[in-house]
Amino acid sequence: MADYDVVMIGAGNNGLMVAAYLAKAGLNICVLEARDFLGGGVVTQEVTAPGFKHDVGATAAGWLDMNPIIRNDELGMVKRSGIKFLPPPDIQEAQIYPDDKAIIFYRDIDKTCASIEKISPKDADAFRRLYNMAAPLLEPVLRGSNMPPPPFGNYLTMMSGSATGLELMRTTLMNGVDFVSEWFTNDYVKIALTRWSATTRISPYESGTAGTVLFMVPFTMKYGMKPVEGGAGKFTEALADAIKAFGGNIRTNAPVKQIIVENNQARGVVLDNGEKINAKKCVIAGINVKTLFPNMVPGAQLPAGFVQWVQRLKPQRVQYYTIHMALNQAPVYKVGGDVNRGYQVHIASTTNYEDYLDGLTSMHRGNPRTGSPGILCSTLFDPTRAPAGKHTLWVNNQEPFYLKGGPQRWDEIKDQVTEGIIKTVRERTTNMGAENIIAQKTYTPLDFARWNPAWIEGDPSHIGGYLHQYMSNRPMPGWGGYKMPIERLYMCGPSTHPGTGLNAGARAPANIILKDLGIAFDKVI
Amino acid sequence: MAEYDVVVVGAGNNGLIVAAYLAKAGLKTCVLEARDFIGGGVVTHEATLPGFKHDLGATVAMWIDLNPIIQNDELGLVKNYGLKFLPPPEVQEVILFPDDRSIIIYHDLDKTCASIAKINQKDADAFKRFVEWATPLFKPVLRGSNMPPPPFGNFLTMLTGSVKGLDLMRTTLLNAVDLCNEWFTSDEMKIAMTRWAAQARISPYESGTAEGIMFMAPFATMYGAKPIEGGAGRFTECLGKAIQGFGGTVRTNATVQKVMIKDGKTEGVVLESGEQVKAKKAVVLGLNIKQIFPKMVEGAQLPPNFIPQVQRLRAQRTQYLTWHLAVNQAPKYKADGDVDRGFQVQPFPTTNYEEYLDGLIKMYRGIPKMDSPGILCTTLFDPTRAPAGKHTLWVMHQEPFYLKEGPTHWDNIKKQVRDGILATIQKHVTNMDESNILGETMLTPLDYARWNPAWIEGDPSHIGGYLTQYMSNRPLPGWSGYKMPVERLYLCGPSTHPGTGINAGARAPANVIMKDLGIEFDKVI
Repeated sequence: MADYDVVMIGAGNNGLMVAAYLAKAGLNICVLEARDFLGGGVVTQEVTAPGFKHDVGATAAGWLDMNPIIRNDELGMVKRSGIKFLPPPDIQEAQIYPDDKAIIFYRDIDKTCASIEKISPKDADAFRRLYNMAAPLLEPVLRGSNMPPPPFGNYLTMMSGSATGLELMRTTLMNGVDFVSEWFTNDYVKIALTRWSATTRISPYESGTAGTVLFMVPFTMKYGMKPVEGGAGKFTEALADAIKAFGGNIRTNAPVKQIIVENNQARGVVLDNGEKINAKKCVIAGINVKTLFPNMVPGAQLPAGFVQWVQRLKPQRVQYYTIHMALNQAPVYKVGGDVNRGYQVHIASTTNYEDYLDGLTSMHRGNPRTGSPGILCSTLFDPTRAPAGKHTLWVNNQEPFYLKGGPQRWDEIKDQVTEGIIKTVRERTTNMGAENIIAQKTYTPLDFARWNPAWIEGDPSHIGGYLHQYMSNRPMPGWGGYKMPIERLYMCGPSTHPGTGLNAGARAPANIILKDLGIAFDKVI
Repeated sequence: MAEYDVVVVGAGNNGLIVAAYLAKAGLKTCVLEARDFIGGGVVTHEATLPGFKHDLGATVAMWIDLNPIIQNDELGLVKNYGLKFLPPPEVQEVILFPDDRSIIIYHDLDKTCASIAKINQKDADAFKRFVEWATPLFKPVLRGSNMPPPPFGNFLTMLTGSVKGLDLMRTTLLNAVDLCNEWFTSDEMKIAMTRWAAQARISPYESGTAEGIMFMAPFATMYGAKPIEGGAGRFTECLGKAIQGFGGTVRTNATVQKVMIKDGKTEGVVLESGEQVKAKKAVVLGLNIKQIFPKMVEGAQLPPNFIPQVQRLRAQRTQYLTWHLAVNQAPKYKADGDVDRGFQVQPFPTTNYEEYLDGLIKMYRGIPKMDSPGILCTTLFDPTRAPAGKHTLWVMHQEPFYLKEGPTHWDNIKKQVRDGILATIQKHVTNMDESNILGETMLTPLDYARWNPAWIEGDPSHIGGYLTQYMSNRPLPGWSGYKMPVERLYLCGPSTHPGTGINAGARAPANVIMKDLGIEFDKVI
């Protein structure tokens, strides 16, 4: 029987990150991945045509490069594997409307305000004021995303100690619609700003969604989103390189069936094929908490109510629907100007704020929505992702997993929905006819659920970002510290704080696990 | 110059309660009321015809009779002034659907379940389980409504100590729609339950609204709402008498213009007439916080940012419109059975949950609703409120203060809204033609804003019950302990925890003020 110090289940970016830190600490570690490739939701594959590299799941990097993992190159990913974050594009996001007007969010606050001013001078002033108000709040939130979350109540108490904190607390408890309506008057501007709330895939009517607006305004101007050269998958590849360089093992095609629990201690795992793998020190699950409990831990003594709590964890309201395209030309937008150089272009189906909100509500209720895709043409900034002169396109749409009539209906309506989304793109561009599209591939929320077994109900976040599943309430209050109610069993990944995305959130559980094993994290890094 | 120990500004039920306790403690207390009658929003007037007594604001007593103010008759309201709470009517609430089917909430769990079973057996079982689940959670909430609120963060931290506490925390952060979808399957039941959340006059999509359902389900079936004999105004009338009985003074037509502040201390108040009324120990404001700051506290040194924070406090999403009728006969409902004996009857225009929710959203956006009035015929239980054999009706509708056309538009559409509500009632009632109506008067949200100067934007709650303005965040985080940032200045009433209603919430500030004055509350009561 194979024998390791630590067994990591799941080779997503979080599992790989924890494994790399532990391997660097000298622990004998084995990562077990059910699929035949690594990377979880952070993979780059040629899914349309040869030479076209598509980020199948996550694509844009936010503040990952500011995390010590990259900034201090703690795992040697830059030096060893040449991982490279490209500069954040100057034109971060463009929101375009059916009348081909646009609001552009530049890295530069003045340019951004000038863009808003064309729509509403009053709201341009308000945007600048919001930026000034939000800028000092950005750093504490960013720092918080790299640390184990304090208990939610303590967090709120802590916040009430200062004027800045109180502002942050209010926003934490407020919804996106109220927040945006408090600051802005013009419907175009409200749509552009509320979209940031809606990107969290819960309703902007829900408390907590104001926080994303508060965060994204200064983040966009001060830091900005950026692509990883060669594809987001380069990040997980570099992590795998690091694990191997530190003497760790990674096995693909090794689905774990259950965790061996003895005396309420995790002792190892059993694979689907019956193979047992011992873990002398701990088992870490980088998988969906709903997969883990109760099915994978037979015989465990779980606290009263624990399993029931897991079972009622809610996924995000909506999931992703992604169309990957291989193109001859980058899209040329009718609105023209800087939008053609935009990193992320979002189409709105309406210029009326109430219609916009009703559209979201309809989608949250299980109706497909083809009128407002987000479009990324990363090859504008990273030509290595496609053959010379060609482009890739990442067309991303929020869609409900639970369609009216059931999720299995996705297979029936997939072609029709893709056609509808492409039609929307075509209406706002001049060159997106069939002749420009070399190949395309669609992933519906149902496809994603099949693609990644951790994405139950198609949810890359595993569970939604509602206040009751936020910070230390994630995955469950009392269990926000990565330790599970079985000794030597840990969790990392989207089921835990800070949730999904390319965010190096797993540095926190790596830290905690090393501490529990008596290893000083500071000496390892 | 008149000189008192304590001046209380505003003779609403909260101001009167504080004044009565302080007067009982031997303090020389004067209550100053701007209007020519006392009672604030808790008044009974013959507003239609002689002999017909109408509760113009609040009407139903919920748990006030469980508060020590009544239970121990601490102020002698029962013994000395004959205040009487009638038994909770057996048929507490009736939810009427367009086809005259109904769900009836009885003051009896089994009967309630039997009523639900006629609509959906599964939901009847679920309701039973729901009440079992909610009972241990709602009791601490009920107790908490009589106490100064702990800081919101500490409250949440406290809850994480037990399984029940965690459930309560989750419910505090959950929205009503999610809670209903979690527990119930039929649209009728979801409407009946969500109604309890919507009664809070904020959107059931907002976090925190789940708690309303968790509270009301056990409350209605185990305790129940009840009328006060002779009218809700009897409560404030008795309080007025008690104050005088304890040697206190109550003055009407005495509008306070500002609070006198000298060397950072509150010294008394100045009336509009220029008259000064001195307060040696404290001034207690039973007003809307937005009336006070900054206009009434000229010269006060307020913390930075205090005023902007007050100014952005948000009213409830919708307010009340009430229609008071003197009628020959109590309404005879087309639905048979117990509906005619219902204490509170509310028809709904749909049995489709999504349509119901969309109807609420439309209303929040400023469109009058008219299709789901709450109907109370209190004279069925309290014949003293009308001449022999006759009845009063209290028809209430939630309506937005801010109509799309602006609040002043209420004056233009009042008659039309009156006819619309009557038409809704006539769909379900056989005897509500115009000839049954002997007299009537209607108060729109705009009328209410004129009627009670503390009801800015027509809001009897002063400020909404959003999480950002809930418990210790009410009225502002850091200022929830009834003390205001001027020495000797206190606030009581709906602007403070626990908010609006006949709830004896003001017993808590009475306690706090006495403590500050070195008087032992326990010895006074």
